Amino acid sequence: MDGTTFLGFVLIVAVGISVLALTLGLLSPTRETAMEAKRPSTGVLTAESMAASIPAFFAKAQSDQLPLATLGFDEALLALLQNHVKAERAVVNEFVHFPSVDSLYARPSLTVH
Amino acid sequence: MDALLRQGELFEGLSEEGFRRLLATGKSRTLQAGEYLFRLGDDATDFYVLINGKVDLCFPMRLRGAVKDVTVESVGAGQALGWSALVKPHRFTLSARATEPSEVAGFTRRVLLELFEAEPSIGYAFFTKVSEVVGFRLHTFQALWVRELQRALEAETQRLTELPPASQ
Repeated sequence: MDGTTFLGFVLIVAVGISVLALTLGLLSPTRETAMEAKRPSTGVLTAESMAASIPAFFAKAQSDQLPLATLGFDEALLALLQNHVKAERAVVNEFVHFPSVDSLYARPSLTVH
Repeated sequence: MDALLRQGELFEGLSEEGFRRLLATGKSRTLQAGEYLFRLGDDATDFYVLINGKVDLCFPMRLRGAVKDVTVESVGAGQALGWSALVKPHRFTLSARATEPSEVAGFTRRVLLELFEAEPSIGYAFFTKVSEVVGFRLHTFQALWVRELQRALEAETQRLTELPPASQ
């Protein structure tokens, strides 16, 4: 093996190592954390989409007022349920004092905080 | 404390003497925020009236394997809670949790019944108001249940009407 061939071999190995280092660098913990931060929170999105998919159960007017984006999946779902119970109780309270078919099946309309 | 309790929902029909004698059987208890007064399934020996603060009545919901408490009713000053202590099988069917520092007056069933046996007029006035509280709860949950049934019925009706016609 002459000098030129040896130098070529060294050059190829060096370039290979550089490419490998670059590839590994892309998946370093810092880089991964940054990518994770860019990724939307699947838990929150799932809770929101779940709430949207069952409007017959959760009172939508009240659900819109909840800070779902700042809550985790379980907390968001519980907040929706809690809000639903409050809205339902408000409607039912009217029925208990003034029973009628209309008041029994009235739609939730009160603002619940 | 006496003045606050006098305005409570259970004591309206009582004479001053009756109220004084009933109050003498009560014991004050303080609760920290987040502390449970009782939990679902507990033996219900004491009945309570909230003197100040706020207590949530909660029922358990299973969520992804974990049990979480969901508030169904918030009880304020003067309101009664824990009437399971007066009704068989004397087990609490909801949990009660203070959401802020609170104080309750607790009345032991055995002591109350002894007083009512000695003074039936106090027992009559007391249980008349208790029946109103229990009746209100019954009507409330009956209506909540019917509304959920109605939703289930509407959802099922919609599902059936959207089904493709059966092949001949």
